[in-house]
Amino acid sequence: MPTRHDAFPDTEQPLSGWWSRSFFLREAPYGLALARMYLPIVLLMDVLPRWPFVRELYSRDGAPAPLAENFGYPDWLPILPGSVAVGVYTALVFCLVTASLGWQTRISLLVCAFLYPYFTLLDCITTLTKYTVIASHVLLILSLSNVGSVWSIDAWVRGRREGHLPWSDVGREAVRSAVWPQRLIQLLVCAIYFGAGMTKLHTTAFLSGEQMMYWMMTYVNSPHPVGEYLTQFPLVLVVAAYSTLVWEVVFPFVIWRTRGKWCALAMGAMFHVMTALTLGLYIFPQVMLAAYLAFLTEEEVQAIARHARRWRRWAGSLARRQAAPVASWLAAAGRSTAARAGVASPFFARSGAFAMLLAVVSLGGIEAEHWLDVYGERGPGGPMTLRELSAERVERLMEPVQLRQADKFFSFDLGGRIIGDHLVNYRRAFRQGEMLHAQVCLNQPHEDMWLECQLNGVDGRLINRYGQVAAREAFRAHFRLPLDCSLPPGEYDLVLNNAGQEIMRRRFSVAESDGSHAESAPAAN
Amino acid sequence: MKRWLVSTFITVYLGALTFGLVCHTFATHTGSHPMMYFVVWDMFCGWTAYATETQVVGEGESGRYYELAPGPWGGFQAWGTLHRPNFDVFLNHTKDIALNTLRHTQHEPITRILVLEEHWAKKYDLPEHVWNMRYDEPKPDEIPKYPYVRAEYGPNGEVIRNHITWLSYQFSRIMADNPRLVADQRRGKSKFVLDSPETYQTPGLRPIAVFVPGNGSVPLTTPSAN
Repeated sequence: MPTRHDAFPDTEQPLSGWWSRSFFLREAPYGLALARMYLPIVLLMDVLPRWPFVRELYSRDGAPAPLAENFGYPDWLPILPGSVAVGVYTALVFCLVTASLGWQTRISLLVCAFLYPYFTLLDCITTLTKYTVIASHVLLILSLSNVGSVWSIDAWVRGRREGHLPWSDVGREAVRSAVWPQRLIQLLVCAIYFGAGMTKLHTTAFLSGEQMMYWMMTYVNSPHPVGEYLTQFPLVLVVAAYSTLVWEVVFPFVIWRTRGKWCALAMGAMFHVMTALTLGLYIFPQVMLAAYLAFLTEEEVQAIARHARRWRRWAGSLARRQAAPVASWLAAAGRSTAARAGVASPFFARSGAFAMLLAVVSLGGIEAEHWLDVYGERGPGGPMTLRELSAERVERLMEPVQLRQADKFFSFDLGGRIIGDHLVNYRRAFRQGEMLHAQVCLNQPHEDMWLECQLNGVDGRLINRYGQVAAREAFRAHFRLPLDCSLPPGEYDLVLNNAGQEIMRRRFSVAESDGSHAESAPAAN
Repeated sequence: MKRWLVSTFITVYLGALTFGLVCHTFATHTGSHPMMYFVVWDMFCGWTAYATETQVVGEGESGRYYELAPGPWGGFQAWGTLHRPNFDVFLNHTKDIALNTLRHTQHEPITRILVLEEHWAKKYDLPEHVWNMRYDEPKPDEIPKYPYVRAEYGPNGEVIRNHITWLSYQFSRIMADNPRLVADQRRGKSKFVLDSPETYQTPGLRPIAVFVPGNGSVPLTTPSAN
């Protein structure tokens, strides 16, 4: 009997030690099976809402937006007629379901690996994203793997027919196969993170936190209330930006050792959950988490299963009492199926039945979409009429408006400390002897600007005036105001001016020195 | 599966991933073929300080204006509440969306199709409680917005005007505010830049850059990642 470390039990000889150990070690593909079950469910969340719009998004009877056109290849992919596109798309939905269940697993995954990227490539503006690309890679690799051999309808049917259970020792040995598909998904994840790290290195203002901050204020994705709140803490964003970059670049190098693997995966899971909460990305994290399942080895899945069984025993006595009727029904059903299995191959094992059901579902989809009448052309009164817009509004949209000076500024804040070029402790109450830092955050694009800060009394009396140039590439400018004893306790206004206009005004108070703050010395240069 | 076949597949697959990584890292050939989108991992394409909303409008013979995207049947909203034209950053497909709406509706003859944009600083999108944490000034009831005509097409989709993005336009205004630079640029400069015909096969000949009067050309690049 071959063992786990006996990579080549047959007559085949290894190409080399490293190559064989990396790609041709034999394991039961439990991790891949989990990915096979989870990924199609995630993709269905993305695919199903598009089903009513297939005609519009992906067919000749609509307005597809093929990616290839952007690259200068106008007829790179064929675009199907409306009803055909609906039928084929429905087949994709069906195959995602059957792939997840593991019914005719290889055929289902092959259909998904072909149709999913096909449809995404036909709509580069609202379907194709990097998560669809990652999912396409994973579907392709899964379709070439032996992933249907465990935790699938196929495996269940085979086990029944051959008289053993897939999770028994005999069954486990029977399902072991070379780990190269698992390894390729792992290497894909490494490449993705390394590439994403390179992107961040190329991206201006990523490490200064500005890009993250603006993304968290962007509403092209789903709601992300945590992100909105975090925009007020730019230093947190800077720390997150550096951590993300380091983790992405280091990931491919640490993931191959057990301790490094769990650490990198835990950080990855946390990172992806945070992208959902702060950036409103809901599908992307789930696709990545599905790909993470490929990192689970056979031993690890068995260890997790052992823990789960122990937990179940611990909490199970009550559940067993309640589940007794169900268990007896399942046992009876199992006996009945086993009896039938000896006589004839079950319905679920036949690929003819699969093909027939696939055809029926696709035709049903075409019929349903026909009755849905997405363009409303067959309703009473024929095609719909266009919605009229107010002429006043449209004409207003055609009149250019000069960018207001105030909109070139994001914020004007006061505080006592600057770390990493960011103001960290916003406050309005100061004491004599402290240093007041005023931070001006600028919206790009802006011209080279002269910024002026006026220190005024609350009665409007000008006390002092500070100025500096903010070059066009600047995201921030800082003013340092030493609050020495020449400034009596009281309230003051700091007024930010630009181009002869008051942009923002901040009121602050100065209290008498408590002696803990020395007169600040002039900054060394 | 034969082992040599598997080994070949592994080698080709890893080679493709490596090729994508190298091209992306050194910023070369990333837009050479649609399949490059499958091996280039540019998931963070940069976000700007301004939000944009796009409106696709048809003008009828009577001088009335009609909404062309979304169509009257209601359009597809991909991730949030925005409709398709809002995601077409390079304006390569919005015209087709408008023409599709016209094909499937009854309407008076349309004389032109307009792609109109409104831009505003994203700080105004912050919810009230976050705004109050950061600003002394009350949030304005009416957000200051900047309209911009992005493109104008004929009734059959022929291009009449096609402008660069509003942000590129703002950048170009800043650059143009330099008489020496503008004078240098005007000296012996051709007006349009078209790609070489071998790269873009007919009939898909398209400009790779857009000319901005007095402000040079701005490249049209591959779509950004999401």
